[in-house]
Amino acid sequence: MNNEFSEPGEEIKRVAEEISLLRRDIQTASAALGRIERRLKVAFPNFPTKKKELHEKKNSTKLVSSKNAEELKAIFNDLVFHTQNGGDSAFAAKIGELSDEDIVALAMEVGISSRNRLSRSKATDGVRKRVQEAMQLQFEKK
Amino acid sequence: MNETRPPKTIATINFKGGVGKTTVTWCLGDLISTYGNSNVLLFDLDAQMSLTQAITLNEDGSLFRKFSDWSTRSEKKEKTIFKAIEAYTGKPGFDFGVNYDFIYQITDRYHFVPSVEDLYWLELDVFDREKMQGFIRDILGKITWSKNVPDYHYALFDCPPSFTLLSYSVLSVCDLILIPVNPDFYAVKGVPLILNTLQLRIEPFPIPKIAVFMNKAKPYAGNMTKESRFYWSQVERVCDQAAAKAGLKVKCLDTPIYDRVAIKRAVTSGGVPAEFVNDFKNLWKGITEFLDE
Repeated sequence: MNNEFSEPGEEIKRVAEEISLLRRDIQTASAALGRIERRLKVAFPNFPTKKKELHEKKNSTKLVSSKNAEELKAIFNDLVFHTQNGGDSAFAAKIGELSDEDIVALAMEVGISSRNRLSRSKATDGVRKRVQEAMQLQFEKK
Repeated sequence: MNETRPPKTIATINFKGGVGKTTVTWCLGDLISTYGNSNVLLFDLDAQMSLTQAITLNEDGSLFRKFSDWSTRSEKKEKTIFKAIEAYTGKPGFDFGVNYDFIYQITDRYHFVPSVEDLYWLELDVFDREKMQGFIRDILGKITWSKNVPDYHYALFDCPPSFTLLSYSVLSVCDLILIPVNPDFYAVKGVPLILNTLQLRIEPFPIPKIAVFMNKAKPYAGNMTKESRFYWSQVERVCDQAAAKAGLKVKCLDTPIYDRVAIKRAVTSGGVPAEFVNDFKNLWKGITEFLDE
């Protein structure tokens, strides 16, 4: 009976050939990109070429929250309290009072992310999740 | 004349599985019997037998010959914990002798009452549930007064992740309930789950002291990560509420056990890994200080 599956040795050989082809394609694409970059540099000598520099410049203009950990904790507790009593609209209203940098700092403080490059909406979603968790973690004497 | 005292009893419990109850219970017992020179009796009350299997398996998965022989003898002589329960809930009087056929010696100071598969069917087999509440108290009494085994300073209980007849019996009598939590919502949820209903379940017995600590805390620069700290702050808040609203004696022990690979082999490799000894010493210090308050 014919074996419809290739043997491990054959499979390794095929995969190695595919990798070799991919490597060649990448080298070709990389060389083509290099040529385009050189032509652009000649055509626009003053154009900033390094993306990293742009990025650093962007970061340096980003505002950082002035709130410390205790203040952020108080804001979080306030959010939990208002959401418990007023639901998601109360949460949205309270969040609306906060600046972008404070929401991002709050998201970081409750362990949503360690990076301060979160968007406002992602930070808000993360804080909402933590608020919901905190609401479910309550002592209720039975 | 020697004064015979019952051992201090500590039950490790969380209704969420996988929080590290078994490993922590084993490590504490190993720590205080090795470094603290205390006689420790460890009970595996979980029908899943995780602790029993971990203690009795070599790294290669084969049973230690010593335990295998002991276990066969124990079953033959009807000295398993299940047989003790049968004797307790069956005929009047508790006719069950305690000796080394009931208790297995891991080391000179570290002794063990293993679980057995029959515990799976305990809930079906035991009809006198009210009587069952006193089982752990009475078996500890027998152990305390037995001349066949030493005086134990501590009895540690690895409880199942559910409210079974045996956990009911332990919680009604223990000095301390130890709740490990992990830095995730479901593990932390186990704290209010226990605190909310404990009083109702074990009345009229007094509520034991309750200690909570963070197990498998994620480390960052010598401290916990912000995520771990967030969940720990939620635990502290719930415990504060339980103390204020219901007068429960709850303490959050700020001595986390960090999540490191070596802990996974703590039981099978035969001792608390060296890098964890100080963490567990700190945890134990918090436990004993709370017990003595």
